Amino acid sequence: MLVGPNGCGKTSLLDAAIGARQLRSGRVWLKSERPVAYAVQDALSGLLPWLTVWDNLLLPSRLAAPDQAAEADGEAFLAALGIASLRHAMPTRLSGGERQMINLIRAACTPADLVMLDEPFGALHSGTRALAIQEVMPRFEGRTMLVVSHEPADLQLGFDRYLLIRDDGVADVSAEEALCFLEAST
Amino acid sequence: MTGNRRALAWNVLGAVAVVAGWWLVARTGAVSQILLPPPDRVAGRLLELLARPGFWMDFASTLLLWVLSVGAGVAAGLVVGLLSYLNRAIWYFIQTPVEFIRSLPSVVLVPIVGLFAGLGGPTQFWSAFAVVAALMIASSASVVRQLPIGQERLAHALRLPRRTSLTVFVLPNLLSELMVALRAAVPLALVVLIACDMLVATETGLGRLIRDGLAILDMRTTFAVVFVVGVLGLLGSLLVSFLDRKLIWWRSS
Repeated sequence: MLVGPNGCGKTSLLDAAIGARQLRSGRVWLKSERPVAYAVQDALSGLLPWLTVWDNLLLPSRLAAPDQAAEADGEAFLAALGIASLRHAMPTRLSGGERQMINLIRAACTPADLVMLDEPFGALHSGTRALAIQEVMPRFEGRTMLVVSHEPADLQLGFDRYLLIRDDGVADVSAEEALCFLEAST
Repeated sequence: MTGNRRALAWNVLGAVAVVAGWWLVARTGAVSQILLPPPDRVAGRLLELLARPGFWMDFASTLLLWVLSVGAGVAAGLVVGLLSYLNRAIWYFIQTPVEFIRSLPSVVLVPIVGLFAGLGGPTQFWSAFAVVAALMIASSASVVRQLPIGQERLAHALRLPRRTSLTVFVLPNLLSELMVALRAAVPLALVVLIACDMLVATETGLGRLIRDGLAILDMRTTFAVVFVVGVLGLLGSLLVSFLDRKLIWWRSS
């Protein structure tokens, strides 16, 4: 889990990792060049406005290789989160929370070993957030995850490492230290 | 009465009020009828013009050059946009002249282009083309330089080959941006074509009729042709709106 004050470069670090940002110095090592499952922070700009919710959900799996499992997963997630009726909706018609859920589900349906979630629950109210954690997050088990969050409650998800970005660099901190930082900054 | 019908009623009322005010000013002699003929006399002149084959030659000349210059400008925007996607150096190479032409008041191009293209149609075409193409190229280049940030991240995260990124992400955004630019380019091209008629000695074109009418203070003809140009511009804008709704349907969804 990646935490740090606003503007410290958490999203920039993800950008650098996927190659969306040119590095001025340093290097990025990824174990494979396979696709990365990515849920963007700005949920609207992450959805293609000319595709329906369903086509957005399945875009990564269709581009990788048509995958029946992804379709089944997509249907199950939409139903579990109570948004099955949005299947044929266009992204511009969705609320901020719905867009974020679609981004999260799309990441879950992406055939990838590495998952990057940038503030994945930021626009969700507590009930929907709990439902998303319960229904979608288990799908990421067994994959390497890098999650950016400002939300102290996200620590309950349980991560192997907590990285705090500060002015003097990136520090490996304990869950308690990450919690202290997040509570002090909210 | 529904909201749409009420809006339409106010639209019609506004147009009728303008014509009634025009008629009143002209008929009461507040402004000389030599300078401002009443609308019924302008309408009579318009009907006379519509019955003349010569008028339709002028109309067709303006319409043809309008369609050709806008079409060529859009094609230039699309091609340069795609080339800039393949190699950004292409955009940086042409950026300064494109931005310069885009910043110019469009009609100042006319005498300069006239020096090289000569009188008549070629000057009209190249002037309108330059204005439309500069707008289109600048718009398309802005899309290929920076997709919406979330799409940019998704494209990188999925490790898509360049060709797939082009078809999945770039082309739909490019089309959308070109349609936005087209809304500005279509009326601008008509302005340049009419200005060309009036600034350089063209032999055909609606602007020529306005120029000749002004030269002999034949204001009935001048107003009648201005009305035709206005209707043409309005139809052009409606056509672009229609195309926008059909091609970029997700924007209005």
